[in-house]
Amino acid sequence: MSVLKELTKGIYKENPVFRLALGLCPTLAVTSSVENGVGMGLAATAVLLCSNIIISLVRNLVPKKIRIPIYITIIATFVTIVELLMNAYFPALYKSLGIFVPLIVVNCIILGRAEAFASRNNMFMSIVDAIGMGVGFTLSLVVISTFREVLGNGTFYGMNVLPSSYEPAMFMVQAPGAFLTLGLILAFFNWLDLRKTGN
Amino acid sequence: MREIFRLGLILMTYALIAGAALSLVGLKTMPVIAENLARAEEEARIFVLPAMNGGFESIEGGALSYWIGFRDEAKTVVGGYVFTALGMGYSSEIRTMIGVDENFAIVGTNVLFQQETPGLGTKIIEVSSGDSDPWYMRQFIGKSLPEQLKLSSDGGGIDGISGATISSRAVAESIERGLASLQETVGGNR
Repeated sequence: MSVLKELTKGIYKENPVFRLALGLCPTLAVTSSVENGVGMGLAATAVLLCSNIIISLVRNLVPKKIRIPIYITIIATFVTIVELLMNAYFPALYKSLGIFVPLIVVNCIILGRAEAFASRNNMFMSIVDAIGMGVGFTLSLVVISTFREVLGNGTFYGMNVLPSSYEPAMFMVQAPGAFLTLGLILAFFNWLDLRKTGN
Repeated sequence: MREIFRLGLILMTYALIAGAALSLVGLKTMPVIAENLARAEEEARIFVLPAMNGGFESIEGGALSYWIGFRDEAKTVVGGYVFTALGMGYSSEIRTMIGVDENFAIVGTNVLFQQETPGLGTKIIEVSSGDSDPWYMRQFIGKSLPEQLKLSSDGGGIDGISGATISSRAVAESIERGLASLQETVGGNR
């Protein structure tokens, strides 16, 4: 098990959104603009990092039968702490990210990594895993929100990138645009896969 | 049976530690959060009704809570009023702080809270590049009752946002309602 492999697997090979199809609910909800996508990605990465560290440290003190409630307790505690600290010391950031932070508790990537990785590996490897998966999640959100914001609003990260003669396809920033974009990207990844295996 | 107690105890220990950590962080952050909120409100008041050297005085208890702004430090010359307008938008409550001068013409606006559809309803606070304030809200500046505070499709002087009629109408109507209530309340107190 190499460090580099664990670090990069989240970006393509085990990309949480496009390959594992995890965390689709927040993915669909927040990708209406690139700014939101980046914010949600970074906030989830921070929580994933904290929860992976703690869970890998206590992994031998957690009875198998009650591991899920314990993981959820740890994750929810971190999310609340992050929310309180952000609200108190970074009010501007909190104002733009505020509604996404509580959503992180139900992001199954975090519980998924706790269960699949942090509970079986040491702290260092769990940190590497959290960074890799967090970056992969953030990149996925950026890819989806770029399509949606550019086509649906004519902007990228709030800056105008298309000529004003372009009439934005409003539905791209609404729910149908999210499903359409995600579906097409998933299809593209599956097609890549099929081509590689020669089918 | 003993197994259940053992597992319950372990889970309780985790919950206790989590609870202790949360109350510790809560105790530290709550005062800072309250302070931030109070400061943000004060800044919002100054933003919507600037140049009030005498500061603001809160009036509560009537049909509408509002602030009186004083032009001079002795608090004798009333320069205007600030109130908060509440409207039900498409997907959220929209809270807008409005400053009016002594003749009830709107001087400044500030949307305090909204969770409208991103890309549509949120255009009520969209700032065009090169501007410093939202183009939709700017339309209210200088306007006053009775007729101007409606959307143009409703016979008023405010251009609604295409694709976000509900949000833009909610803002205009809440401001109209709030201003009418303010004029009535202030008129009654005079």
